[in-house]
Amino acid sequence: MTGGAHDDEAFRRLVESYQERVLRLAASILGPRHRSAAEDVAQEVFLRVFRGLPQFRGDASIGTWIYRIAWTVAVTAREQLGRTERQTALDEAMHVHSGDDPMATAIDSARRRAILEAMEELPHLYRSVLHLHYWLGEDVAGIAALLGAPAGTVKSYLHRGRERLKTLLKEKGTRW
Amino acid sequence: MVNQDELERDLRAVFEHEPRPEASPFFASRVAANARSTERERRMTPWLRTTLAIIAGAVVLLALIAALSPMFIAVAVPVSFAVTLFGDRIARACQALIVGLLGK
Repeated sequence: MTGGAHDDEAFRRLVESYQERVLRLAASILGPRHRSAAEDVAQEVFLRVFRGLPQFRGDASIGTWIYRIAWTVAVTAREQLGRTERQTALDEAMHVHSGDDPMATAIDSARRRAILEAMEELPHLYRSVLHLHYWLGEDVAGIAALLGAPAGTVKSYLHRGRERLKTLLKEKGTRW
Repeated sequence: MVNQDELERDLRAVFEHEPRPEASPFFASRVAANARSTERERRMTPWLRTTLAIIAGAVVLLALIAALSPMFIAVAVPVSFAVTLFGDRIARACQALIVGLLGK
């Protein structure tokens, strides 16, 4: 990437190839209520990719390298989101799903809130894999590619994530 | 007691209708353009700083000269006249003074 229209076009194609997965990974760490922040994160990721390309040695695949950058940037962004901001997002999530929404009848609001709150308290890794699987519909292989981990490890993360979630829900005294 | 199957079912129910993130239209083109301009700015910054520093230095120097110029003229003009008119005598006087001082 030394300059010129040719490089711009090559970089644009690279962004197009990875934008959806980077956005998903960022969103999985930030949560459903920060989708706009996820796009900002994705933009920052690709800026770093652009700057880092001349130094990219190809030790890992370019995808793995981009996802690693995405993970770091998203975790930093997540930690910069204040607790108040996360609470507001949670309230908005509850508000959106109240009323006549048929989904609101499928799961009562107390359970819903308890799950969303507990998800907020999970470590980044477990929150991310649970979001990727249950929200973003990624299968184990897809998550494995995003995290650069073997499929068996991802299954273990999913299992442990659910266990941690159960523990948190028990601690909150959620009745099931 | 939190049942595993129930938890899975509820997790799916909680997130089933959550909108999924999608890149806005022309995201890739916008990012590529931003990357190029940010990089250009980043590369230009040291040159820009140096140029600005030189300009600022020159301005300060000119301002100082302008501020000090009356004093400069007041001292430099009589001295240069004196040296031109009485240079020879001044030189001799200085020589005599130095010889006298060394002689003692």
